[in-house]
Amino acid sequence: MNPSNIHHSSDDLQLARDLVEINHAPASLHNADRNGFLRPLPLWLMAFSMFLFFWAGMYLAYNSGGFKANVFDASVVSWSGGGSGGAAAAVDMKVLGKKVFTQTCVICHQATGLGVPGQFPPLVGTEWVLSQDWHGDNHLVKQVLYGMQGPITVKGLPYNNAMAAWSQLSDQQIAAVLTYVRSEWGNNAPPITTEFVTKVRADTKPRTEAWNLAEMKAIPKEMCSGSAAPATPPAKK
Amino acid sequence: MSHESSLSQVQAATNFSEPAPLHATTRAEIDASLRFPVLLFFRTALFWLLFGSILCTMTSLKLVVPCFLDGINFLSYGRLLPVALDALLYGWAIPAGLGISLWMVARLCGRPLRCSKLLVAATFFWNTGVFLGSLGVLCGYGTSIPWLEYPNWASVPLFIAFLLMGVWIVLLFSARQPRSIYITQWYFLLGLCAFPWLYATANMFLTWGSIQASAQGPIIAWYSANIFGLFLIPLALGIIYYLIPKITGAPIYSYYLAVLGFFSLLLLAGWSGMTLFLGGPIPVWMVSASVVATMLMMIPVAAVILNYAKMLQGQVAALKESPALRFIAFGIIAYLVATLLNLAFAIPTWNGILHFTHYSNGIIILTLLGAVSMVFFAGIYYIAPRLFGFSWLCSCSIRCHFWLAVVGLSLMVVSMTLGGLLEGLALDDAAITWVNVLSFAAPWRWLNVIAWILLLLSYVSFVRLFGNMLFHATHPDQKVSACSFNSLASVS
Repeated sequence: MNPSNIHHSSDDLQLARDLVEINHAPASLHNADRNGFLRPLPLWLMAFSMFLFFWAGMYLAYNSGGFKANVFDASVVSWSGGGSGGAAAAVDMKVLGKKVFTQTCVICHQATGLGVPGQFPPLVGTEWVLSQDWHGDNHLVKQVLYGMQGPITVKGLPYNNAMAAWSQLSDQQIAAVLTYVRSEWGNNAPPITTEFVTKVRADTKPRTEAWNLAEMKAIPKEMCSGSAAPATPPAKK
Repeated sequence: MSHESSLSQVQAATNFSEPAPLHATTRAEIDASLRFPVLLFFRTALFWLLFGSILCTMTSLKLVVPCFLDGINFLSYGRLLPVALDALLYGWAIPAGLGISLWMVARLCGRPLRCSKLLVAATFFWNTGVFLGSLGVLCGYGTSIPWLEYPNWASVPLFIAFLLMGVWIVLLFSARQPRSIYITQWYFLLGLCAFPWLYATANMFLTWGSIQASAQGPIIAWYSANIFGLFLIPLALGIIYYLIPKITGAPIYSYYLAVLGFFSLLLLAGWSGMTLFLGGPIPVWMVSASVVATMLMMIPVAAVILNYAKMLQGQVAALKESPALRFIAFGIIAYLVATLLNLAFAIPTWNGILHFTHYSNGIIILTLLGAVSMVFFAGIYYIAPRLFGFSWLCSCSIRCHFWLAVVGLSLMVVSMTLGGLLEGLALDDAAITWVNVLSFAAPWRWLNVIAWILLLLSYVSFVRLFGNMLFHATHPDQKVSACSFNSLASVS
């Protein structure tokens, strides 16, 4: 090619290599070339692609955050997308508890937790709530699950009323509301776990009717966090 | 063998293996119908290329000499840089790509262009949009959104003009005479469909209406990645698929590789922008999906480059003779390097170091001026002589253009990526103060200035050559002193 030449006629165009048109159809190629054109994909490329796709699946399993719109850090959600991974997936029990309390408990026990004198017993500083004396965490959970009936004594004052059963609430909701009640208004008792509520519910499986005081007293005391870590400072015991 | 005969029947029916040959009179008719509009595309594109690279050189100088042109509002760094980059994208790359694809589609479809006046009007609208947008940004009405800095009213003429230009290519395609569709046309159609989608979506959510703030970042990342991944890169790949067989005479190496390369690109490219927000405040699945897509992009890139490499194998003579093929070879290398650099950027631990340095800008420049522009230059080198009716006037201008661009781009990529890496390592070190990091990175910024000057010279050389061609086409009887280096060239 001599590019400094100036070509005026269209015949000259064929001289420069860039100006060559391919005028032969594929039929003019050798058979080998034509068949080569439909040659299969190279095996190594397929293997490489498969490896990349495998890696991609594994990477997404561990780093996708369960494809949730509100997860910003992959490490807080387990690879299956469930919440067992940690903090962000876990529910704040006190927030949930307050929600349940205002929806279900506040009518009788009041937002202050003081109840109505002579009618509905208080929750603030109560031995029933704080698991003091003969009361255990199991009594508290059972009471919420199936309700209470007949005369009882709370902080030395007699009450004779009926508490509704709340077994329709989930174990997590019951654990949350009890955790809330035990940490609010100056109460300071350890939280009730969802697992503990599940256990108590399973223990009392066939029951549907409300408890009375005699029945309650007959049940031995159990604590949510086990005997190793006492639920309350052992001053009362 | 029945197998072989069925294979050749497939061949005869489809004719996929190379661009279809046309009769000489048809070719002449097509070229005549395209001469004015396509050359108009190239002329405006080259104007904006020069404009953008001058401004880029100025901004790179401003980074090392802050007092350079200081105190002039409309020449402040924050306004010059977006104008420069947008001129390179909207002024140069898109019209050049459209002009080349218009010509190639017309050739592949065996159809001359009818009613080219509307197309010329559309080119006018497009350039008005770029001009008004640049003016708006210079006057301080820019939007500060990467690649969408033009004030929102400038996006309207741009969008309408693109539809008018794109629709001509689609009309040519639908009226094609050989019914078979060549690989180049797949890529062109992908690019032409992607741009209106990308541009309209991004403008609707970002410049016209404001979507909630947390969604703006992802949309910006999506747009700025896909304007390349789904639009300009497919155009460039299509152009390469057209030019290599035409220049070397070798058919496509493997049709199935081309299929794999195209559809995996279609599937993956759109996902790969979000790595910009690794560790950022967007839902983690978006980032992780993007990391995965960026890694998987190795599949389309490997398939396409393998195909090209096999076609270029043993074509040393053609590479030496054909400037278009040389530009293509460099474009392919730039594409490969840009992909690998992107890949390194997507590895979360590496990203922690490379983020907030010049590294990511280096990838963008390499993609825009290397992988895309070098291929577009190849297209112009191939097409323009056919439209002018005579060959390039001066081979040493071409050589100047090529080697200055190669050296300039290589310097630029080294200065921005390697410099970015060292800068990132220094930023990570709590014992080094911010000011010290800046002065530590200064030599790399100087290298960047040198690279821009080389690139500017390279583009000046090309624009000068193209101008001489235009002059010679209108004044064929006058002797053009096109090649002042002719004696030099004959010595070497």
